[in-house]
Amino acid sequence: MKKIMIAPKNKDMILKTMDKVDAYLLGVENFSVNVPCSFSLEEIKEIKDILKKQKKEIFLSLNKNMFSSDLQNLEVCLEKIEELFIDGICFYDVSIPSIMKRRNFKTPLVWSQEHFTTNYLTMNYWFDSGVTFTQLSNEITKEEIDEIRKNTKMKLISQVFGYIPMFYSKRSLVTNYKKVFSLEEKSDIYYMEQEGKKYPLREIGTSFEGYYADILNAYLEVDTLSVDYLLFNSFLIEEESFIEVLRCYREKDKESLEKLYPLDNGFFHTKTVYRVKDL
Amino acid sequence: MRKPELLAPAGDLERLKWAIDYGADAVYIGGPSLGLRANAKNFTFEEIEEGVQYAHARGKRVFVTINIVLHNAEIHEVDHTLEELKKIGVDAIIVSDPAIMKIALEKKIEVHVSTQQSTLNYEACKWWYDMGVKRVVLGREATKKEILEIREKLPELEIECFIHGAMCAGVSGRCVLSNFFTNRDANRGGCAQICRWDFHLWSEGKQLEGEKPFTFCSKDLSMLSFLPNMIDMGITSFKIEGRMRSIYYIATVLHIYRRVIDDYCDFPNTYTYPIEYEKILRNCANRDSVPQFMNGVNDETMGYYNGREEVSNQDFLGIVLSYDKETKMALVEERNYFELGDEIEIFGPKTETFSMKIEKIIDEDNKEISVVRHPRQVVQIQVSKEVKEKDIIRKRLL
Repeated sequence: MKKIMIAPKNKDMILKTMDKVDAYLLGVENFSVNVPCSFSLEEIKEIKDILKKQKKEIFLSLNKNMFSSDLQNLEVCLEKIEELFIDGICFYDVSIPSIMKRRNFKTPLVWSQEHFTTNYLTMNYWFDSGVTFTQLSNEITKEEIDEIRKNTKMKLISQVFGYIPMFYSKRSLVTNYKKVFSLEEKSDIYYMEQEGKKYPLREIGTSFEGYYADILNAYLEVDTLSVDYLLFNSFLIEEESFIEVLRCYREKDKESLEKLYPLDNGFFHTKTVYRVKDL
Repeated sequence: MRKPELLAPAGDLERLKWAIDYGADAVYIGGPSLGLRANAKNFTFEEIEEGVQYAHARGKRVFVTINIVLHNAEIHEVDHTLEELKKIGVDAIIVSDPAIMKIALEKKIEVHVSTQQSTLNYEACKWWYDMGVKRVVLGREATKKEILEIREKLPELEIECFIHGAMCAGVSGRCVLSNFFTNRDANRGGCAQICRWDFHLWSEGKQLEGEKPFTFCSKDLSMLSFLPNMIDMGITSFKIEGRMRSIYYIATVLHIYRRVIDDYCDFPNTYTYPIEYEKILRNCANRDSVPQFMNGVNDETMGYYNGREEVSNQDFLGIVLSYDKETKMALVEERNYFELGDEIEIFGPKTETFSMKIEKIIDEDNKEISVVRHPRQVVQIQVSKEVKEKDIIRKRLL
């Protein structure tokens, strides 16, 4: 039985979705990117106490690229997380397994290097290094996931709904553009447009995130997708709609789901190519 | 003072030889598969072997990039590729995938962690170092602070940093714009450089109308002015980006950085910054370049928000094939139109840059001519100083 995992946009959404959700993926203040929102460790402790009473799983995303100046706080953060007995830490930067190993911390790790989690050989390297989950890349096919499933003992997480991250930078690209042209508009979210499609952009501090324009909605795939967790990303999705999406997936209500968002398979049936001659 | 390695890109065997002749201590190349430049010419195993022999005969080293983000379908290529490279005797491979690193290390192949891993801190470096990795190519976002801290905490680990060339707008490996816009896999060498496209920018239903469209496009990196500082920081290797670049680009950039490194390391007390080199580098790449993240800067000076002029670069006029000491005539193969009266500069690995005016040109039929306009036409020109094979002739820039 696949579990439903969501990346919520606030505490309220957590409380409202507990009857439909098995696991929660939360951002952690100062250490997360590409998540709808981040929580302080104090908030996470409160949320964890609520979730554990309901036998829900809780994962934390510490997936930004770490600079040396982050390490001291990161180690303190990992130490505190260790005391929370959560179900997993999603990492991008290798400093996390490095610190965990040095400190002999036991919180399970999720290999979460976004676009790198594409094959079973590398997964098995991380599995042998003590990592027990992988958050799969959104750019691989269902066929590839099947082959991964057959060749690894990793527990697999795959996004099936929501906006997909496709670009991350340390450059303040919108702020810089506005500065050059003396533009005053301020917003939490911007969009860049190309051929009628609008791609969400978000700047938080010196982190810059870019998302694909279309909302992934892989309803048709979930029954046969060989993963352990189906991830629903609530970023920029109205709370009410998001909860209805969860219901539709739970209750297999395709008709209502399609009224909310068109079905979109992402790359599940589309192979990317890399040699021009293969185009 | 320890002299850092100057590491150059080479897209094919010819460019490998030029890079070595123009002062590279090591070159990095792409093999027949598993690299990140799927659409470059790349090397066959036979060419790698010839390149390695050429380099080793001159005391230089060759690194091969195996920095693809693997999909299941490529897994079967890993073992064979590494075996072949081991047999050839390449000096190291540049890898982003830890599973490939592990296999390579078991085969006793030297491993350098690719910049694709965006390593920016000493804990991550320690993970790689404990694995047996010899060198880490740091993420391009690394500032002086990170580099010094890594150097201090892991003095045995070799550190490689980019000093010149194009920059990704995103963090390496965290951009799949190309996948979504063109179905070409950025992390398997298919990058279509979407970051250089123009977009309209919107905020809350309103288009933001700057004088130019919105773009992610970054200026290039040039650490020329910071090079002495970087040498003092104890960085092991200075890397030039650009396996798709031309012979002229490679020779020009190497010629400049070789001289700056040698001048500073050999004569640190009398070293002066050669500001005139900035113009040559700018012309050669046809793009602006800045030091990017090194000093912790993150502002509008790093990107091309105001567009850029695409001026066709015709500075590269020809290559010296040979020189006749008696007649003082150089046999030259043309690369761009030139004529009598043109002011030119000639430089080479062992030829200090000098300028002169073209006063005599003789064609293959021994007739004096006034214009050289045919592609790769071979002519003789009279030169004012001795020149050598593989010296380069360009328009006068200085």
